[in-house]
Amino acid sequence: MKHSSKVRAGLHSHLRQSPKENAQSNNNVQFILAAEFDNKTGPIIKHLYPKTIPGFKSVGNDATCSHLASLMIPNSIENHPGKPDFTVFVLYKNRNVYQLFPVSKNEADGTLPDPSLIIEEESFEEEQEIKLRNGKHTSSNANAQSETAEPPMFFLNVVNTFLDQSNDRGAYIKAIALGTTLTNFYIFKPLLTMVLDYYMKSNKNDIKILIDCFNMINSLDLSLVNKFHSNIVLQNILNSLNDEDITSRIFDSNNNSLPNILRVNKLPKRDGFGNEIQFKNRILEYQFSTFCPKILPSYFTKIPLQIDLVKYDKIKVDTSYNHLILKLLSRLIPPLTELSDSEYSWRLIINSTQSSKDELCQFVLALSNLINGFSSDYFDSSSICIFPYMEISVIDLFREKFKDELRKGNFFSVVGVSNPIFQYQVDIWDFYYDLDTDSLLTSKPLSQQEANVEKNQGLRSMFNRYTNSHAQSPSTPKMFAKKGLMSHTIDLLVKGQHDNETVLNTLKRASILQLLHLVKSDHKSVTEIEIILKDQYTLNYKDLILFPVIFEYNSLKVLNIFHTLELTISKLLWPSSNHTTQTRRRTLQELYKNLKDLYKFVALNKKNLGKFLSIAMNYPLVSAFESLDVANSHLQNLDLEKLLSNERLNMNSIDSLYDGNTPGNAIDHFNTYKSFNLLLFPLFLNPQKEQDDANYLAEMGPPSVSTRLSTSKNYNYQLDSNLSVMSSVYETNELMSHDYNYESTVHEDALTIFSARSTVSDLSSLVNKCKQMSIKILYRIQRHHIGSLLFNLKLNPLLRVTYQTSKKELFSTPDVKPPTSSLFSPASKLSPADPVNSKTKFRKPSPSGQNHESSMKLSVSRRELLKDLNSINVKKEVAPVEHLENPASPKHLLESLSRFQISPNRSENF
Amino acid sequence: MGNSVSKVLGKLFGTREMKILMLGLDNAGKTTILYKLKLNKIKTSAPTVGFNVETLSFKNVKFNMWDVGGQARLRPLWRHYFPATSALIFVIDSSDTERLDQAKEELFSIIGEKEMENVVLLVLANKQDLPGALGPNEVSDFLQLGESLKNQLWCVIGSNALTGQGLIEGLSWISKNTSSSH
Repeated sequence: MKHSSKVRAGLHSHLRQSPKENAQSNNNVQFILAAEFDNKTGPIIKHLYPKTIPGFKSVGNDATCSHLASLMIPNSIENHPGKPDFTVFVLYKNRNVYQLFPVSKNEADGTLPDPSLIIEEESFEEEQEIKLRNGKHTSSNANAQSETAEPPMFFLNVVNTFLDQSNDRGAYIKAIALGTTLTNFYIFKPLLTMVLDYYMKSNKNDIKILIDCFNMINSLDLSLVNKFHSNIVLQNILNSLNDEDITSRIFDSNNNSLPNILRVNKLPKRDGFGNEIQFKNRILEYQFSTFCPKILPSYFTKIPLQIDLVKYDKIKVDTSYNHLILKLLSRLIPPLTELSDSEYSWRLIINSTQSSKDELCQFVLALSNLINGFSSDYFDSSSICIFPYMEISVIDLFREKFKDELRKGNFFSVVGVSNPIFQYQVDIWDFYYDLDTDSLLTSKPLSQQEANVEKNQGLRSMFNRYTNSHAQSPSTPKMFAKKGLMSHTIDLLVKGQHDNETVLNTLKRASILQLLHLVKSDHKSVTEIEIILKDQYTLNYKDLILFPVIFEYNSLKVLNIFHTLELTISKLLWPSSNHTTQTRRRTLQELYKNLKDLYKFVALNKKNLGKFLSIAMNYPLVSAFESLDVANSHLQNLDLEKLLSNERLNMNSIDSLYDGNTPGNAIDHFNTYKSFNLLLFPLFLNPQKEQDDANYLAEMGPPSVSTRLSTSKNYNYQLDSNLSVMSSVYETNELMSHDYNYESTVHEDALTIFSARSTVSDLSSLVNKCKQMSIKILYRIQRHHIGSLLFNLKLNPLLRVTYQTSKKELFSTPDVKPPTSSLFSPASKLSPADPVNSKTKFRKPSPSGQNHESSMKLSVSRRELLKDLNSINVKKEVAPVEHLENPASPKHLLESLSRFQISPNRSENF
Repeated sequence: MGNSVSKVLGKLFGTREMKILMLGLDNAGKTTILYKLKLNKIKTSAPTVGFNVETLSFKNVKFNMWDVGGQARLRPLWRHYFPATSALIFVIDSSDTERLDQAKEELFSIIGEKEMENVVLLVLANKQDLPGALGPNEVSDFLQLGESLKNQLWCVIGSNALTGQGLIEGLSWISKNTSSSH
């Protein structure tokens, strides 16, 4: 067996690595630091372990380290003795040295870093040597570029003040920080707090405590959870789920889902280093079983490290997006939309003196999660400089670092501060947001009306506002010429109480809607280079929020197909004008092409299927926004809530075809899964009908809500008026009227839009092909471990039954190869659906329905279908596959139909 | 609403707002002075890591008083607090004669800045209660302000932050010697 040279080189270098080197490269934390406030000097770094941070000279009074020290000992910490607070700072690697700011465009273009910052030290040389040995070290620019792409190093810092009468200033202030590339670094918060407490109480500045802490954290092998987090496709699906029911089933350790995902037979009980691990729903709990502390008390090891397996955020934060972040966005987006394209650039300062530094940092990080922070490419190859907490001591370095960018524009930054003096540093901000008073100041060129307001205030009065002890009322909202869909969505979100997952998914759906409108308005093809489209989107909407995943080629492809699919189905079901046979054929051909494209995409590999699922779950309510000028953000008069609730109540859109249970509010409605209905719709098309009367639908026109509801009365569905909507739709398809001899009364309702005729034509064959393609896609979804859960738990039971029945019918004919599944036995007894007269009607069930139904002649498929409905009703917890395998029991069929209802749990989800 | 009314009344009857910057070496007593004025309490639990800011009303003047930490590494940051300052209060520990030179050097460094050329300067010779403390006149002589500040108003007042001695007097002097333009 031959290995590629790359693999061989990798193996050799791995074998040459000493155990120590190997362990260091897999460390969970790379650095641990201690700082304190010196009564004479100010903040100083006391310890650095295991080595000096390249780019920051050694400990003590040296100036280059003072920036780190000042970030570790934040201002006003002395005012809360005994109460720990947290700050976060980030170091970026640039050509082997770390720096406080992301690599600027100039540096990336080849400007060398300040030579005074480059230090020669033993450990650093050692690192270089290893790289040389591994063949990694070259001086080429390409290599420098690749190194700049290294993940940032996050430092989580805890600081506290202890009162001490023996101290000449009455107190001492100390801090400990951990440096890690893990983006869920907040998991170390409890442990770090305990270690600082112990460190301060001992008051000996003993570095051994830090070493113990460092070794303790690194005694865990977090590779399993890291692997889970780095599975982007899986995480995107989990993020899009936003459903506790499904999530809990996926992570139920008694279930097979999690081992399937992890590709193991059995969930592991220990990590790679022998520590005990336990799966507790979404949480993976690590015990420090193998670590024996030398200094730290042994009870420190009894507290497990808990890690959430679902990575909703780029940086895991504990803060809520709902109010504060969205309020800031609703203030910030309107003035941003006023900026011209050429001057699009923004630098934001967020100040709060009332929040803790922890709250402030998390606020900035949460904002960064929504705007694609910590990405190397935000707009026009520029990144956003995210600085969760900045001290005034760092401001000169910031100015120096970005002097060109600050002068020229095309620079983006979010800086958290806890010092109103930053308001005076007008050269470093365009927008200054005071979190405490929810007020926004701008230094960008303003419209005349706004400029007058600002002029009247004056700089000094603005400044004084922050020193007034009286609470300031938020500034009056100003009128802006534009208001986009995102702003409306944010306003709607602010009105309610939503968890972070809902907020993220709602914003993502709004982004997708905006993207689809942008693509449509510009007639751009999705095959264009994605970076251009992303920049174009950013520039067009200027609403900050960015989900890079939707701009990926595959996402765009799926979105585009879904969009076309929706339009095509709309044309088929609710034609705007009379359809000729040719038009109908063209539409059906288009439908088939879309379905085929989708199928080709999902059938290619599992990754594509996963990608498809995550996008499908986020496919939004498009039809309701079709007539709006979304791309130009001229939606000042839009009442989004009203639009959504109207849409909920009307039957004029495709997504109304879910179970009919209206979600609790507009946001829930906006977030329901709709794309799966698009895949199920073709199953309702009737092949026989196509042959017969091309103008049938056009003559009849779209069925009205009242007509549909009235149908329900025939079956005594009054128990659930919501359900009747769906039931009537279900009723309209011929699955209910296939292959049996109803002694029907004449049913005058025109709802039998898919009624059958006898002859087979090319149109009917096309319909069958569409249906088969739909089934093939749905079958693929069903085979996915999360897709199957979605299918079983989220899909309208009626639609699910339709799918199952159609699958049997369409794939049971000898000329069609059925999708193989152990779950479904070939329905050999089934005959192709015999055409029935379109005038065949249902008979109103008599009170003695039970007796009557026993005399019915039912086909096997129909029998099973009704039986399935019955079992749904009886159990309310559906396991549809199993039901199909059970023998049919028709005696309660009509009774069960009349009592049919969906369990409350399930209806919430639809 | 109430805020707006008080602003109108303030304009009618001459209420002013001004920013006062209080600087000095570490342990000079700046924070003690600030909270004695604000709360009439002694708050000396810990050194100031960054800054403290409080609003004080005295007669018809509203003082936004900023107290910035005085440790060696914090002193280069003082200049960031200069903008829009009306008056500088420089606090000296009169008993710390060993660091008087250092204090003088820092003071001259501040008032040499262009942004501070129009501010009025009040030097508080603090800790007058401690044995060996230099009197205000001695501090004034030592600083030689008369020779250096030809165009700036300045004054040296002896103070004791623990009792409040000299503090009101100092604010009163600032109030009198700053124009409404400040």
